[in-house]
Amino acid sequence: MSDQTWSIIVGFAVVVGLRLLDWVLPKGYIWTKVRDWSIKDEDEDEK
Amino acid sequence: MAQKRERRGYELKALFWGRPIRPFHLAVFISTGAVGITNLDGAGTVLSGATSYVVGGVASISAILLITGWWFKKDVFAEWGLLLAAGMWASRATFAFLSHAHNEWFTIAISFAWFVGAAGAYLLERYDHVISDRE
Repeated sequence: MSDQTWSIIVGFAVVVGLRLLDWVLPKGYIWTKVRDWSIKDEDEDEK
Repeated sequence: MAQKRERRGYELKALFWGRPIRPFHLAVFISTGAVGITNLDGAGTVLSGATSYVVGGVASISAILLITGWWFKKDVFAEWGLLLAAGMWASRATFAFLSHAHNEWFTIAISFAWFVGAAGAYLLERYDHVISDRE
């Protein structure tokens, strides 16, 4: 396949892939590892 | 009485013509619109021939969706505009990479950067809808 054909395929795959990613990501959940790895912002509490 | 709309994280505090200002969406509109304009005649700076028409068409549709989404306050238009922009920029980066286009590293880097930005903005738009539905 030519370079042009590949570029069209990649563009289409990106659109489909992003829709799929959005569909797969669980709704209403947060990634708990972020909580494990983050530090509480003390300044925010004082505001 | 109209319900007050909560400002999202990627919007500026000010309004322009009663509409929220989303700087990154505006940037995507300008860059994607430029690609659309330069490719619609079949001879862009990187692409040419049939691919140029396809990419130019998609870029133009994306830009139109972004500006009409902002004007008519339709978030679904902005979502699709960003999604198509991400696909268009990925396509352009792929072609530049495969065809060893003139000044290829710069073209690839810029196209890939816009792809990452547009894809991320699309996912942020979708995530915002999830938050709104949950609340």
